[in-house]
Amino acid sequence: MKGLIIKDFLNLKKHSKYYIILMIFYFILGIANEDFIMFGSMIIVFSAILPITAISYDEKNNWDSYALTMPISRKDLIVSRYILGIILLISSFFITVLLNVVLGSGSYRESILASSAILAVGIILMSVIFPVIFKYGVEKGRNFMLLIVLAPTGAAMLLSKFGLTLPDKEVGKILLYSLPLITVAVFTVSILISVSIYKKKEF
Amino acid sequence: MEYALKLENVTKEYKDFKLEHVNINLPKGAIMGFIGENGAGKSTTIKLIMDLISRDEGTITIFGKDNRDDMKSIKEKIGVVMDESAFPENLNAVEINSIMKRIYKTWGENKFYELLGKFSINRNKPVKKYSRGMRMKLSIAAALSHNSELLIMDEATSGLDPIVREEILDIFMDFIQDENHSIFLSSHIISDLEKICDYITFIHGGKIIFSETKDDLLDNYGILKCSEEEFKKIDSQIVKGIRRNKFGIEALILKNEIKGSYVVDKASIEDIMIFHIKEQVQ
Repeated sequence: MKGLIIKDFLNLKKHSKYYIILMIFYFILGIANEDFIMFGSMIIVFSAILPITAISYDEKNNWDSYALTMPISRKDLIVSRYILGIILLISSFFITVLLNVVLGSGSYRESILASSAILAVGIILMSVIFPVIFKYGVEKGRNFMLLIVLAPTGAAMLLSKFGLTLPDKEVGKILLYSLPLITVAVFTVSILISVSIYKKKEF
Repeated sequence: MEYALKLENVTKEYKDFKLEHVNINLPKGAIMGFIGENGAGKSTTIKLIMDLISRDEGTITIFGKDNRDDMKSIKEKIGVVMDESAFPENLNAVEINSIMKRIYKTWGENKFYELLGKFSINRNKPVKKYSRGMRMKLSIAAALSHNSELLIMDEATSGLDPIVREEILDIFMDFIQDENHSIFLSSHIISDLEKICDYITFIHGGKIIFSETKDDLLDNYGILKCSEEEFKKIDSQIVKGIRRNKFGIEALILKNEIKGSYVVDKASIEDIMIFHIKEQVQ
């Protein structure tokens, strides 16, 4: 398992320049605004995308069928990718909180709340996309991701057109506080689905 | 006899291809060559052995254990080289070493680097800059750098030049010196297999045509050259395949069972394979 995660990090190392440049850009933007929520959103989105990039490398190299000839189970292959995603997402979360506390002007509490919400969205995003990728491959998974990122925006626009307003503050609060529970549930179900998909996969 | 690998009645059906009731027995300490033309079912069989695809019927045991129970610990003792899959292209051999030592409990770093040296592989070059032969050698080095007792090689020597193939065959011969070690080797380069194998298994159209020791094959089969009239007198039971040309008939026969004086030449493994396919076609 550790070997698989190290493999992903080594694989992504070659790919990281592009992300570092973007991060520097948003970092400077954050300093200018004394607010790192935008930076946080960006790196968390990257953190959700990076494991997909790692999977696409593996797909290209036919790595999985090779790895399965080693003392690695199908479950290990799946779980290692979730762990990679979680490592990236949680480190992004801590970086964002730290930057906001040290360099930001907003309140401590607010920045943790906002970062947590983004983290939850990142985990949910990953949890929804992964089973699709394991079933249909990275190419289709990426299209699907575009769809689910765009769909809420479209839905919100439609709703406002029909005169529906956003849910009031109380509902929002309940949603926010139940978010950790929802996130954990979605994440767990996602792993279970992915493992069962992958156990049946024929190479 | 103890078997390193045993397939009994293994069947796998696809829409356009069926692997039917495959039986293979590889005794411990032996090298088995697995031959057949492209699309005959060699890779499918190897994927079934490694449980990369699920079988419809039959049993597969490796070191006496079913390959679906406790496969993880079985795989610790198998080295596999496959035709189509390889290490991540972005990585170099040093990085691959650091991954593999966390995957195999018995990974031998020194052994790995020693083999890379022997194969003159530059350990700082990423895999994507390797030639096909170097990629194969890297996979072979990895397969030999943990406590493997069984090597499973799918077309490991195809596409390589004769000198490299010779080197690799030498390494296999070294490996097999230990009587607990066995090799299952698929290839369509039959001359390679003829050099090193104890057993030859021939698959054609998803069926095993024969699986025998090489010596038995070479002792039992011969090529008969004769005219049509002479050929008619021969018991058709002993004829395994024929080829007609303007000078007469060439037939693959069981040479020890022929009565009378005929010209019977030695049959190579390649002859035996080709004649068997011809017979199927007719």
